[in-house]
Amino acid sequence: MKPVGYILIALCLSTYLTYLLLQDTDMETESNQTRAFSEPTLIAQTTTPNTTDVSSDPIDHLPKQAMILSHMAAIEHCEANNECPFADTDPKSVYFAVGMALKKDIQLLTLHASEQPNLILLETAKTYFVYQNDHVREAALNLMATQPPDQDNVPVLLEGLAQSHDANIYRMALVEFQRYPDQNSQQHIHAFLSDTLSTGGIFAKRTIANNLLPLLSTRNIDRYRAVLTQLSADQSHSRALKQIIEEFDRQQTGG
Amino acid sequence: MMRGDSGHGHGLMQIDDRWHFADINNGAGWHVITNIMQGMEEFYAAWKRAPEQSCVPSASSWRTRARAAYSAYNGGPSQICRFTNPDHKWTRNDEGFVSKYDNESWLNNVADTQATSPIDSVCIAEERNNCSNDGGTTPADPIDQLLKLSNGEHCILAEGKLECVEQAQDSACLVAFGSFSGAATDFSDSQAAKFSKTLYDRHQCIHAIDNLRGVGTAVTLLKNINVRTTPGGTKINQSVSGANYQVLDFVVTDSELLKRYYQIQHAGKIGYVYAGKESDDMLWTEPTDQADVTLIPQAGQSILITASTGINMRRTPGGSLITAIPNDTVVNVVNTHVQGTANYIYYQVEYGGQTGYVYGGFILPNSTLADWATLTEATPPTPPPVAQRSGIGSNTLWYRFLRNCAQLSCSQTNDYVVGFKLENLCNGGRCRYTRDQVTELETEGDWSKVRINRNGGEGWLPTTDIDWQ
Repeated sequence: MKPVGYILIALCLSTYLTYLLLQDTDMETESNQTRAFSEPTLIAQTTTPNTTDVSSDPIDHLPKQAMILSHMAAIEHCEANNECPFADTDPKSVYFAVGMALKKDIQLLTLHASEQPNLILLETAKTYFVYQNDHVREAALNLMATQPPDQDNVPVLLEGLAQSHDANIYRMALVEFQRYPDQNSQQHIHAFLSDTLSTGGIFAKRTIANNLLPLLSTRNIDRYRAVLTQLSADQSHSRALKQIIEEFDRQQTGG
Repeated sequence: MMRGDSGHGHGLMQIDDRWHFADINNGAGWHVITNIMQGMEEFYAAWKRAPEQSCVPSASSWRTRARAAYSAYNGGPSQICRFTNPDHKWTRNDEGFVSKYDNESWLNNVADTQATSPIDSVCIAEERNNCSNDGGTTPADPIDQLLKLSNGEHCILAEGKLECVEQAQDSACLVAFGSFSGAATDFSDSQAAKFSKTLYDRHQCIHAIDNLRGVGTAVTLLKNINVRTTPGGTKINQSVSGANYQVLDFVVTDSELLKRYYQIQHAGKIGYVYAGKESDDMLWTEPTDQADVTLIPQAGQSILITASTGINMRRTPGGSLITAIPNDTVVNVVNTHVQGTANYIYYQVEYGGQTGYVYGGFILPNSTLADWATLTEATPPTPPPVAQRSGIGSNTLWYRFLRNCAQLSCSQTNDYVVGFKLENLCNGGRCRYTRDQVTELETEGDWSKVRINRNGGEGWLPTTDIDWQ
């Protein structure tokens, strides 16, 4: 388990109950967004994992953040052990309830994020971007965007994308990638994107092809020209990639 | 459409609206190919992950691997080993799956496993329209049929010629050449090679279909009409009767009824509104001079060049270079030209005393217009008055024909400027010619455009051909 995982679990016992008591207050700060389904129902308090003394933890001065993190650790623990207290009305109801609960927690962290770099938030974003749930990935990416770009984020972003096939996650990640212009990051990003255009899922390929333009540069364009030569002209992502490359060329020459 | 999982699962693959809500709204439930693709991508992700799990002995444990992938597909990624837990509430689903897997019971629903599919699923998956594959042969004389060429162009055969558009969705434009209905029939390269072919730009459609409004024009809606993501797709919001919208794209469906849809922006969102069919389109929209919000600058308006490198001004859209207009320059739009499947925009503009075309980006699928130029209320700076000068033909030449542009390779006009030689031959007033007086109109490099005072003829010649006064 990654270090942040131990921190999260350690915080659980001391703060979870308090969090539940304060949950309604926090809920009021959540953005008013349309939901496709009702909130997951918490029907009993979850069992929490064993903990260690956390009195000297550096995030003790941020009680609200700590409460949220501990709640997330508790959810993660209950899912891993099939102990989650959410209504089990269909095979995926618990999975989505877990995803929504974690998403809500990450959204709260995002709302409370200041403009100052916060290592805990960044690590949380990275940890949950590789969580096997697109609701969680989506929220983690939004949280990551509140923090200054860190080159170490790129491998995590690529790992999370490799696990996902979802167009929405790809669309968001392509925006996030624009914050990593350094050569090393760009090399890894474009190796991944060009590979995905060649052999990835159909929705991921289309999303990349349609949203690639801001990431194109003279350093990477030849990679995509090479990809294009390998694609059938009949494929929708091939047509989109061709159009984007042509647009890039016009931008270089002034139209 | 099949629904399951407490109503959350949609279609054949039970795509779940608790994550794929937008996709379901866009038809992922009822669109069987999209539904299958989404489901299989999810299943395949679990299938790839399965060998890493303790419940799957190896990657080649095919039956167990399939069971694990199904458990994850049905219950979520964390449930990938659910099938090993007989006490789990939903293990009954895993039992149902493995029973079908072992018995291959889906084959009970297939009469002929070798039959050719009447559905071109690849064509549909790649989002082309009018997809077909009926396995039949193309008739020898495919009159009154829509023909699909191997490069995706769609054509009809009229008077021994192929009249074509670049993509299937514009095939309704071909009604100008004849009637047709139904899905397109594949037309091989060898068949197509027997006929001459004309490929029409989709924007020529507005000349083929009565009252079809072109990209960039403005229409007044005569009803409250739903704004949808795609023609006939998911509702985004509702446009307002009486409001004036700029047409950002048009789509015509049904070659008989000629139903038309316009892409507009309403309340900050871009989508399509239905605009009637050929027989009643005037009940839905009417043309107007000015949209309430202009996204594609039009003639008489000004644009600010936003491209950091500036934009090239050319003699024709994509043609030879005249000059480059720097970033942050304001220029007048003389005309707006739209072409191609992505609705590429070219502005005819005035700059530096000349008129030419600049590229303005494309509209579809995601507009890049703002990368190139934006509408501005500012007006171009008034160019400093051109210091006109006059001169006479140089005494180093006999005469020089003017050119239509500033290069030796340009074609000659019928006018010429006379130099000193003929003047020297004049004697006692018998000579018709004197050194021509000219007025300079503009310059380009080492060339001058001049007007000959003798006859008003205009054209270009090397600046050094004139002795300037």
